[in-house]
Amino acid sequence: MRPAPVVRRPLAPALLVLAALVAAVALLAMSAGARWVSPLQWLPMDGSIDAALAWTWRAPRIAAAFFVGACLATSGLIFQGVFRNPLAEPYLLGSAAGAGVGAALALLLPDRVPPALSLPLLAFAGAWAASLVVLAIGRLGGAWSSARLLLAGVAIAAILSALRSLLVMLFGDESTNLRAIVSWQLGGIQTPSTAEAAGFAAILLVLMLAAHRLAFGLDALGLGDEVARTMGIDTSRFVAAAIVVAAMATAFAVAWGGLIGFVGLIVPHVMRWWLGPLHGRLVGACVLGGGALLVLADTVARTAIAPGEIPVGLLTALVGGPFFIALLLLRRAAAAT
Amino acid sequence: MLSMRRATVRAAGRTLVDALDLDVPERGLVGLVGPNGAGKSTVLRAAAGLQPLCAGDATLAGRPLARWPRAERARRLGYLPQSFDSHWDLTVAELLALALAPPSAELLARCEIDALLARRFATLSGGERARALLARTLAHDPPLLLADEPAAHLDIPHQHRLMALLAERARLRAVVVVLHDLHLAAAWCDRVALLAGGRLLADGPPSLVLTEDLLARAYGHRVQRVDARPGAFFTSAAGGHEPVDDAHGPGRSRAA
Repeated sequence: MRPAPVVRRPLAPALLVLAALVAAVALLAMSAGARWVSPLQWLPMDGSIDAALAWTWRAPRIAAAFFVGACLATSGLIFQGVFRNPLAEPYLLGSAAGAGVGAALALLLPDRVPPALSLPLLAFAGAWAASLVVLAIGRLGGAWSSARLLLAGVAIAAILSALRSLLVMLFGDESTNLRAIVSWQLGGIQTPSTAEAAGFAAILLVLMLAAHRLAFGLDALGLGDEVARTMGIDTSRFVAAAIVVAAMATAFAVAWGGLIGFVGLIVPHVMRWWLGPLHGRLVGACVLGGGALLVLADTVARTAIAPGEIPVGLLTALVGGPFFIALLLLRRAAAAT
Repeated sequence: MLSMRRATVRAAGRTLVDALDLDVPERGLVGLVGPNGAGKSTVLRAAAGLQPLCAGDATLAGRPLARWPRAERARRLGYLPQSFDSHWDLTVAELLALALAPPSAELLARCEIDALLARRFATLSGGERARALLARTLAHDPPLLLADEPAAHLDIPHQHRLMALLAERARLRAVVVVLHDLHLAAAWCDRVALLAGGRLLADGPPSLVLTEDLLARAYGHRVQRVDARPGAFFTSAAGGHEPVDDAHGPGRSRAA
């Protein structure tokens, strides 16, 4: 039997569907919470308590959740492209754990440097350094091994998590809010100020442009190092640049959302399944899909046991793990037919 | 187009290519032949700028290979690797989207892949893969094509169809192709360079290079040549495995 032809979905309608999904999820997130406020009550912006609750408290949090999800998905997409491995993601590669150590330092030592400045910077330094170490181990002996890379990622993540806990034990005292740090470690979206939320848009735009510029090189790497080099790409420099961008995206996500796994794994995976593997087509889709997924997860996290909150990182792992296993099984079934 | 002077490649303490001289004109089909480990693929990789030379020079269009800006060099070269495996599940259309220029409809038709565009590359047969990869490599119309055993794993009709494509291209452009099949080299190449032990044994028209004597020296095995149309067939001579004097010998002849 001749294998069936593959029809890739056109990009523009797919992006429209994703944008509609983001709008629908945002609408739900504005209404849901410890108290349900229907859109008819909050939409008028008439100064009522309901409108104030939705616009002052929920809207910035939704913006932050969208931003964190978009950053995680973008960084997962770039990591998967660089490592040519659909299992790569910031959480599994130790990059998020590196950002976690940096961020923990910033949170534990607030009197030395203001966290607003040190948190993203130290998170970036940690994510970047961890990615470089994992990459170096993956390339040890000259031959590239994807299995060694993932195992190195798991080991580095374990070491860095231990280091982070050690830091919390050594430096966490009454002056630091231990409960906040622990909940941040499990993943929790911080509510930003309006100015910060506006900054997210600018950062996302820069990240998307950078990811778009990397797209052709990531596609070329997928054809093998040698073919990429004959396509005019300086592979070492390219990989270094791509890791800087992916580490930046990880750092922003970790700085605002703590440690949240599986979003960076699942979203690029689903988008690739839907739209094909060319990275240029996946950047916008990952930003919208990652954003929508985390807004939804954050809404569930702050609604399910209201007025308490489930750490959103626990939720993404609980739902994301089985979902990923299902994806793997489906792919296996598809490959067998 | 491409010129190598005393090009030498060493890796892991071994000399893979030893003071090799090779000139590839602006048009014509040049075959690199020789036994396993003769250095054919290494010469091709060095010509593509993938393998640095330890000594000697390689120039492309008069400029040393290493001095070309990467993007410009990429546009002048088309490199078809010996083995190719995409890490992602690409369709043929997506593979072609990763060419340095959009392939023309004429090229797709010539490579007979216009009906395969929506197929997954991983599901193609060996012949279809070879043609899809060739179309990707030729999409930007590179002045020099370097193909590493493109006919390996193909059946006889596909081998000859592929060689016909390369020969047609070689009327206007330079094509260098590594071949294991001496019959294909004799039938299709304008010129053949015979390598053994990293050195050039002979370089010239197939009828003068693919002789029983030179082949016996290159392969360390007696070969019988049976002239045919087109080209010639080569088969192991009776007692061919017995020691051959001067195998991989130092002498180098320029058959012209």
